[in-house]
Amino acid sequence: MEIEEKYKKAFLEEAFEIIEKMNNSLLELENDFDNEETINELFRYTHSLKSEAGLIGFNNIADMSHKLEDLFDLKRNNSLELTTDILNMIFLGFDYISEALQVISDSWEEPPMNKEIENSLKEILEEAMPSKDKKKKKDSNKGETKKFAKEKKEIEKSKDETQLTLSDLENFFELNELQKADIDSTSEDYSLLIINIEVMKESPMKFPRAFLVKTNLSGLGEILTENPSFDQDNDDDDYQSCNFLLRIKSDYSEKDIKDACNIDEITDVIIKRVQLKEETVEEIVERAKNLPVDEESKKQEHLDIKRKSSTSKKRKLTTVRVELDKLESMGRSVSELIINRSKFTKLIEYIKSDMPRSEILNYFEEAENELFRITDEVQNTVSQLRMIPIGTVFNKFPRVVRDIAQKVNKEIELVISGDDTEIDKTIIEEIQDPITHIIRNSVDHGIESPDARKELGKPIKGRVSLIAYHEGSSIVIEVSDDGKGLNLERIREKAYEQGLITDYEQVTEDQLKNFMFKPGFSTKGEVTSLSGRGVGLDVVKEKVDKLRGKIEIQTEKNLGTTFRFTLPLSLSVQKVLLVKSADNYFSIPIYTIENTDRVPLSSLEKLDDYDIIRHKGEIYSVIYLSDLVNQGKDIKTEDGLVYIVIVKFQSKKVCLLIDELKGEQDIVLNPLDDLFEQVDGVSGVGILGDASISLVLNVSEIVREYIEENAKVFNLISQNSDIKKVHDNLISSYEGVSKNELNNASNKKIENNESKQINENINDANNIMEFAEKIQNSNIDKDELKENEMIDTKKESQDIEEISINDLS
Amino acid sequence: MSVRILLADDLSFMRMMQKEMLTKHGYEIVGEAADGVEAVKKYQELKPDIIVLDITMPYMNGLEAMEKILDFDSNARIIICSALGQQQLIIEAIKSGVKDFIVKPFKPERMLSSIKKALS
Repeated sequence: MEIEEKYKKAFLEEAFEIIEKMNNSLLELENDFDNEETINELFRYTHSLKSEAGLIGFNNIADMSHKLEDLFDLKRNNSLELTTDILNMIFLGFDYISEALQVISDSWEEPPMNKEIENSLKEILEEAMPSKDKKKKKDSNKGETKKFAKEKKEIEKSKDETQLTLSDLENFFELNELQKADIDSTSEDYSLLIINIEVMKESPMKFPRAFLVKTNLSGLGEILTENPSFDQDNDDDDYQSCNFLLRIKSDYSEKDIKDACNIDEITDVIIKRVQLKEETVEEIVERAKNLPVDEESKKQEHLDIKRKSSTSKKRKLTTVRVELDKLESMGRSVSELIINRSKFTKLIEYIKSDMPRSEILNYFEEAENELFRITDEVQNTVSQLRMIPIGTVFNKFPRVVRDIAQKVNKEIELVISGDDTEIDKTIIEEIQDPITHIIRNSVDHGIESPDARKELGKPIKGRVSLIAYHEGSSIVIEVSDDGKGLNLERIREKAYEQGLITDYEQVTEDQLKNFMFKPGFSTKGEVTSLSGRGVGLDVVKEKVDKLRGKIEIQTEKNLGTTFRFTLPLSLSVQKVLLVKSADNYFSIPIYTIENTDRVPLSSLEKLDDYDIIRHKGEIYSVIYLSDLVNQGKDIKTEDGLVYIVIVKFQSKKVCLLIDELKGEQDIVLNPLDDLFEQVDGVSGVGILGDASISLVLNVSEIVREYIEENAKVFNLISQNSDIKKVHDNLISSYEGVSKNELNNASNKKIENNESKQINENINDANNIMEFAEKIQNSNIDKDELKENEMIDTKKESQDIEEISINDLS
Repeated sequence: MSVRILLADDLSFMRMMQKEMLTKHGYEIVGEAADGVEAVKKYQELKPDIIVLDITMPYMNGLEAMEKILDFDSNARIIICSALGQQQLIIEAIKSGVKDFIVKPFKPERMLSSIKKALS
């Protein structure tokens, strides 16, 4: 069979879904051991998984699923009494499958069987096997049971290979005697036929095969005897044989009978008028000897599968299931597009003809409007395609909660709502771990021990709820518990100990909560530590930031804590600010932008070897965007003014230097090809209206990398917080003048010819401290400043475009 | 005209494999159903030449669906798809008039051959 990567992908996707459902059903079963419906579900799931895994060649998963299926089958037939121990063992079996699937999705290799679990399950099965089966097992003396189909198969195989002649010969001689008896009693009746049906040796179910033939034949005549007996209480164990013998009374021709036997996996049908019994036997025996041995080819096939799977590239799952409706709606849009296209063809004709311009224009506008509408539709549908219900993530949490609760001896109920809320698939995949983390936290630390809850007069059973809902263009996910709430005092102490706050009292609650997201904050305290996970809330925060979302905490002592994730619905379409630098277009995601401005080139300064800029009371590191694409520190300016874009990642901000601002746009983010993946700081490309390409900046990466590489400058800036103070002081000394105005003014001042002296001094200054001092010491007085202000307001409209993001369009 | 086949299996993965294989061999897959109820509905709508029906399906299993389909069209060519261990179910199916059955996991040639034979 051809095993292609896409089959595996499809398999994995489906298998992950099944195992999730299995886990949830098992959790249900835990509440009600005898819930028939749930048991049937579980049986069906394990059964499906077994078939699928077996089909694609993941035999360990198939075997494990098979054992579990058998177990549920026994339970279904009331042959097995479920206990918590057995249930836990089943959970372990499920875990093995989950892990194996994960390994396969990462490496395309199936991990080895977990023998321990397998054996324990086997023991449970053997223990529970109905007595009838046990007896049969003894009687048949084959050392096999009906339930272990795989073992059975092996035995079947070995039998086929080694003992075939002996046992089958015996078999056939028996038949011979039977035939003899038949023939004696029927004498010369020519309507009597003996039919030997040979079923393919590999056929997994030989008896039903033969039964099918028999059923077909029964339409043609009367079936007198059958051997082995087709008694339907018999099961497959009794039908290892590949040969079935029927005696039938029929007036149909041999050809008709042969046609009736023309069924798949029936390798041969021998029809004999009853006369030539010796020949028949000889023939049958001969055939039995010459049974084709197909094992070699089978092995070869296995090898092929293995080879293929090891060469498959390691790739993450990237398929998405699509509702038919959505596809159909897209199909409709596409047909509209095609109609629209023909309108443009026609337009060319019109233009070539001597049709009046105004008419052509009308027609053109109409076609263009239509095109806009259709493309909008397509865009909407496409973004819809990426949306899947968040339930796919939520479904795994009951299991998570159960496991931790059991581990820490707490009783916890998980309440889920809004699981049909749709969200972008990419985001779902990313948000899974953060939510898991918070849920674990809630169960482990949020909810009190049963004793403590009793004392507080709370219900012993703790409650964790998971809620999702849409809010504007965002999805909100809330994880709440009714536990003890965050210990803010403790956070305060920790923050003080770690030097995050200098003034013990003057910290707001919000600030305290935010400390929890600081890397390395409170590793020991129970506030943010997590049982053995080794990840902190800072990682959660980073993930959320990366997804352009935010996370907030609400907490009330003894009432509980809520973590609130707010995430964008989709990542594929982004609002960006389009800029130009070194003749390249760049797109800067709007959400990362703090501010844009146009400032004099001379406001750029050096701090040691680093470029910095002072803007509105803050000092920023400067990155030449041109430098990012290895074009050197290139900046174009005609009037001595340059554009700056201040971007932020978490609390860090840097200033990007660009040539031109082009305005705000919606772009569809296209991932970079493998070839370009090494370009740092670029998350993809966007195609612009004129078909040119813009690189979409990955601001978090840019900022982070810049900090890593240039840690020194950040240190310098933060160490020299005095500068800021100096600057702030300077500002505050001018009453009634806002910081910004003053800042503009001071920049202007530097530019101003009248303060050439200062300007020169600045240029000379190696140290920003000196620079700051110089500004401070310069005798700018209020009046002068006000004068400047007036000039400024005039100038503002000409030179300085203070651009707020919202103004751009 | 190519042979029109309806596939009914609750696993889209199975359907996908079957579909691909059959299409490659010149069959036309006219529809897919993910459960027994859908299978019956689609059979009545599409009137395919052959329906491949999985036994284990939600809402209505393959056998019940088969009965319904045979009620609707007593000449329906139904191929039951089952797994090992469902012998009794297959026997039931045969009694009710199924044309053939295939046992999972199966090789493509099994399916092709049973379809070919069901058509003859």
